[in-house]
Amino acid sequence: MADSFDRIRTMANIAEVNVLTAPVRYLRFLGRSLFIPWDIRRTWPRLLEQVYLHGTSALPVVILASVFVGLTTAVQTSYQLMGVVPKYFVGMGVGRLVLIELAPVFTAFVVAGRSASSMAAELGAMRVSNQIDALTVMAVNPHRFLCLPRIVALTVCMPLLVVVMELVAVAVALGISAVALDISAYTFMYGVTHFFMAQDFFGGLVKAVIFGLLIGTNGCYFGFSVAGGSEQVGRATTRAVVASVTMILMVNFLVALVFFKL
Amino acid sequence: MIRVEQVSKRFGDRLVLDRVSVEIPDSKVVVILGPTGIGKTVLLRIMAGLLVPDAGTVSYDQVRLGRGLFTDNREILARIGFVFQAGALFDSLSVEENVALPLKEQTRMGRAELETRVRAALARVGMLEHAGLYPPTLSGGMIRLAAIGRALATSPRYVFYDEPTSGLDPRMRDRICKLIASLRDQEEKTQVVVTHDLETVETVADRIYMLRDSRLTALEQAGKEDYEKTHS
Repeated sequence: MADSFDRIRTMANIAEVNVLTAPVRYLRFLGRSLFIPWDIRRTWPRLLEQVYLHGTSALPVVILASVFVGLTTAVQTSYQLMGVVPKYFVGMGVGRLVLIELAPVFTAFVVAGRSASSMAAELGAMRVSNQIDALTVMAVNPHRFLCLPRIVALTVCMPLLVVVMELVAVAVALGISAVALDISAYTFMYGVTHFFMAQDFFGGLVKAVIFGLLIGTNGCYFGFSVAGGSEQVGRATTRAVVASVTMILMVNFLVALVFFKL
Repeated sequence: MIRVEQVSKRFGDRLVLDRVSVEIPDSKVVVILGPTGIGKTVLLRIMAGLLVPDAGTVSYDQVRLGRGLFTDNREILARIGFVFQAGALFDSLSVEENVALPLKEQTRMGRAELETRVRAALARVGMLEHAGLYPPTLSGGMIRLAAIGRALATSPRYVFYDEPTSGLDPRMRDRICKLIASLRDQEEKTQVVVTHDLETVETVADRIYMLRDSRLTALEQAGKEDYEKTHS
């Protein structure tokens, strides 16, 4: 009997993460970070700081990524559809692809690479140098002080960043279509607007909110989990990004099932 | 009074603390002595609620330290000041902001009162003139003093020190020892000092305990031979 338990325990430990207990610990961490008295007066300044760090400061890289998303989508859609269907279908393809899939997922990847890693590194370094323990013995709840503003900031910022990517990507696709693909701006926009469905837009935003929540939680969770030295901080950073990217893809599929299933 | 009863802690196969019991009387400085890596810091962290013991209890004036969530221990934690070995100051905050942090978070005092309290805490540790500096620009001794200032800002009843004088020059060590002694004599703070530095022990201790073989022994019981062995 004991051997069987040991075997199950060994099998459950994949890449030093226990797949049986990790989800419970993860959810408990999220609960401790969000379901606490927020103490708005004290949390507000830190929340604004995090919105600036992980939202406003992410704009340049999100816009840069949007430009290439727009360019590539326009070229690929035109390559697939030109000569088969009317030209305005290129506008439709670009619009719906960007709204449903590309903007939420690419923005989430960019933010995960940028914010989950920096959060995990920052909090991991704080853990190693006892700063998180120092908060605890100062009777300051470290979850409220450190995690709550970060998680909420990312949850709020992600939909806004996604909208920015959608606007920039569609605008760039419109430009390249008019300049290089022989599709007039009117025809392109006709395709975009004629086939626009509010469900596509709001489905993308729902994904963005969930992605933001997950990225923020991963950054904090893996940062807080650091035990040991600076090597562990590096590992936590990697894990935060890998876990975020994996969860983004999983949630993307689940939301697709719920929102866009025929 | 702090009462530690039958506390045990194990890390993997290694038993670090084995049914450790100790009473820390009010307004006294109790020193826990022992070589590096023996488990002194583990005991101090258990006393401060930062580590959960495998067995045993810690109580403050009959109130038992909870084993779980932060909220269980908040009232007790508000009465504790903890000075970490490396200071654990926040790098992005100045010395003044570090000292102000617990006051801002624990209390609802106005700006003027907060400023007065911060300046008083900094003056107490002789760091007033360095209030605007950031931790990376401070020496080891100044970091330690700033950390003590932060621990004292909320006027805690209990102050815990983890190796407060290790790696410091004799002048700075004397300064910190005098500060600990004056906190006892003038403000009647109950203080627990964990150290392997015998000169610190001689200067500040009211009671001395030695951690050896996972057990804590009062120095009178441990005997002079043990004391000297540790010293050597």
